[in-house]
Amino acid sequence: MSKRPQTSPPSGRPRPARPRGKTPPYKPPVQSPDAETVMLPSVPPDGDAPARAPDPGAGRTNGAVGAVAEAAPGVPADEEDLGPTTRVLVMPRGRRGAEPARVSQSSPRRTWVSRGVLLVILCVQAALSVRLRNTAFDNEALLLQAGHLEIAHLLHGVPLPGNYASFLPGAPALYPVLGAAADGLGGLEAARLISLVAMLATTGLLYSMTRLLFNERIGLCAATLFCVTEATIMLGNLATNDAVSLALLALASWIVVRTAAWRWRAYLLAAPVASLAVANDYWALLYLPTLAGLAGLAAYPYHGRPALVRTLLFGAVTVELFAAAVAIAGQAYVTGARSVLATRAAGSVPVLHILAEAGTWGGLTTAVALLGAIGYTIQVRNEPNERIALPGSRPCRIVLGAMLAGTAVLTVAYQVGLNTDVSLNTRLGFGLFFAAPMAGVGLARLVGDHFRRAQLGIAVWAAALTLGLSQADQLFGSWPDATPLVSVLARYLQPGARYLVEDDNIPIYYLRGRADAQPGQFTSTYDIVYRDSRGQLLTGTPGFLAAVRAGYFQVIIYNNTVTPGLDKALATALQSDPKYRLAGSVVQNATGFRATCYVWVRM
Amino acid sequence: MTAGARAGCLAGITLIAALAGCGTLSSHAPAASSGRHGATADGSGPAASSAQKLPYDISGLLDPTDGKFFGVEPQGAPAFGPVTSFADSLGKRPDLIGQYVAWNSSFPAQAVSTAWSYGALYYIAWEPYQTTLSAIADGQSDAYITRFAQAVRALNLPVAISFGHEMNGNWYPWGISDNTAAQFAAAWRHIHNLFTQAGAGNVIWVWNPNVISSLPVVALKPYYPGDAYVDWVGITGYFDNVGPHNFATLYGPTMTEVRQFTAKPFIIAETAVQTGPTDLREIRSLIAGVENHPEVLGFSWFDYNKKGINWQIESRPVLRNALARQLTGLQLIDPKK
Repeated sequence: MSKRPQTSPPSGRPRPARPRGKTPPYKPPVQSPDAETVMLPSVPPDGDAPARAPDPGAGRTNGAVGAVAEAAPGVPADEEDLGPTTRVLVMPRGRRGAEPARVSQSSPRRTWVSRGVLLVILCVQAALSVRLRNTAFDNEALLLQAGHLEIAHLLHGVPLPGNYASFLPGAPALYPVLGAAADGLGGLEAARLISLVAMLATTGLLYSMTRLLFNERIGLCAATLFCVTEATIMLGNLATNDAVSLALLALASWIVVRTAAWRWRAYLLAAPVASLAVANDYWALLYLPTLAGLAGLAAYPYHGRPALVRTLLFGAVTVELFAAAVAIAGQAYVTGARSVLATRAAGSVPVLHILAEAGTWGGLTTAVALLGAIGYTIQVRNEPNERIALPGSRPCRIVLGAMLAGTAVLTVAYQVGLNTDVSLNTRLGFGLFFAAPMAGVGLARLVGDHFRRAQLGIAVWAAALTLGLSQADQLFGSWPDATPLVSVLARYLQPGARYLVEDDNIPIYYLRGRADAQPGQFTSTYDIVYRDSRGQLLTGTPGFLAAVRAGYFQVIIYNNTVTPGLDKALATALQSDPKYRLAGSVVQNATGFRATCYVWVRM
Repeated sequence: MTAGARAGCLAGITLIAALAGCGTLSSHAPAASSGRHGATADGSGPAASSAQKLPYDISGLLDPTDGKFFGVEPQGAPAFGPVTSFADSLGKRPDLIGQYVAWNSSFPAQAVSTAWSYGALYYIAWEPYQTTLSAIADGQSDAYITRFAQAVRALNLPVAISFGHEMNGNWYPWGISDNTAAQFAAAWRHIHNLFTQAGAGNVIWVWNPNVISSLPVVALKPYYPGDAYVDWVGITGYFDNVGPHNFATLYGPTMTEVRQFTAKPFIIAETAVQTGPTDLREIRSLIAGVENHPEVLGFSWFDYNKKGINWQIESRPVLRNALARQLTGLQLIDPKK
């Protein structure tokens, strides 16, 4: 929809010949006497040469204007031509380092149009997420319930029933508390709203970061693709720690890109943000190398090879922060992180199955990102007068493209390494966030200059939208409505009674606040330590069966899904046990899931 | 229109089409929720899908203390006309309606539903004709039993089922002549387990021997499948012209024997008074016995004209009036409460 600026060169204007051969070395800018004007060295308009548009955001910050020397022919007409060798470059006052020249494409109109389009994208993303409806997912129930207990512990000193730090996917005092606070105010919907806000912020930061790396059009393309992926839609309506951590990673990424040109070490502000992201969701640890790499690569065009020190320094500071955090928090957090990153998820899902799932959920965006990375490597041009690349050498572009697009693959590779597809559909969102800028490049390349192949771009996006919508619908409906089961259980609650429930997180969450449904009254079918009448400690199936024989549980609920072996043993024991009677059954239906929940009550 | 504008329009149309194709913004609202903890069980009819309803909580019917069951086994069931005639003649609506259901017959869901709407619990006397107890226990009827159980679960209304009633007699194929007590108990437990697997917790299981006076040598305990499989102990016993003439002598010995192995409540599952010199006294004794025994949940009148004996109350005005008078003081149960 964008209209080319009025200052565009006439179509008949001859384009400069592309110089061949080795890229001329980057020359540092010459500081002008008034300290607001930077005289940039002459740069040939080669794809490999520094050619970067001025940062419109920075320019609006103080409105400083510099005069840039331009010796080479072929100055794009977007720039205000001040003469044969001079063009205007917007520079912030006194806080950034040297700004390499790039072809200017920004204008206030373009900026506001882009922001308007971004607003539409965010509205679409919000609509796609909030349309999903279901009762709490198991992880949501676990995290929110843990948060309620943490709040009670922090505010009122109520003892915690267990060491949540050792098995939650993030620090219990972070997202669980935040989510539970929202849950306490407005229920599950309020907790999910936090995730929605986080995911909208993620998309906004993605746009801004990509705009800084490339330009508005690429930023919009990246945001357009990212907002319709299954992971983005899901995470925007799931009250778990993932969305907040992803938003924090996005903020950290944005910081390192936004401060890339700055001389002082403002990029290190990203380190505590990234550390917080990891503390909130240990899975985010996987993406810190990408973040560190981005810190160096984004700064490379401004500072040359010394910029790569940023990667090391960012990594070192982050590691220091982790060490300090672990020293303060304790070993339980390390155990929790290990459980997320290694042991808990380890499974036996076939590699091909994981790859097929990953391909289904994130394959299209990843493919477009790979296409963008390849195209970005080959040619730094999108439209005839547009240069989307960071100035720098081709190897630099190769590394940046491979690193960003490859991060999407890294997620899958790690899951393949664990032989599990647990949470793959949401974890893909982390990798896709980093791959999205290159996907934006790829989509822009597909569309071509002047929207020459708009239909192709729309076809890709429509496919991404259709896939994302249908997959999010399917996955968000893949767990059964908890309402009937919770309602049935609520009939038989008694003060001090004990309840054996196959997956007890859901009823614990929904029945919280009831004096006869305290977390300590629940036992899941995962494990038990039961002391029988002779004082013998029993675990596992013998422990459960001994407890049933003793009438230990007031209510027993199983559905033959999580622990089918134990459930079968329970069914056999219960049907001949006069203390218990089958109170009824609840049929659980969900997408790709059907089970019968048996409810036994002690008479 | 520029290429960009065309592209934007196309993208917008695509988005709208995609959203429309995947449902409206509210199309995924949970169907069974009414507030956070959602649905309530009303069991108000068979039309709704059982998957969307909570299982009916029958715990209040297992040993009710707020009244008695006054039932009828009408000739012509499952037709409902005889029930209303019976009720009209006595001026009292029964809260228990019985039907004899032959083996391999389907579950009379409509009759159960109609009775429930009327305010009565349906009582099925399930008669294993054309099969054997050992065949049932061996699983040869599993498909039929499972189908029956699934229909019971799907209806999601309380129903009482008595399998192989009067098993301690020698007049039915499932009686003592051709079967052992162990076979009967095994068949019962097998059926019960299949109902459990089907998730049908809405069944009140009635173990129903005949009064032991008919065949006193037959011990009841071996026929008893166990407390885990039984909710009520039904007793069949008629006030005929040759047997005991009061509640205590007719049912007492059986109740005493049963109490030696279970504490489950009783129901007089099948009874009637034959016209004779003591019929009015027997009517009074029956009602008084039910009223005065807290462990007796009620009785069900066998309203048949069968094998030359007319047990139907409507055609016997003197007895009918006597029974109607006795019933005026009897507090009945509302099963739907």
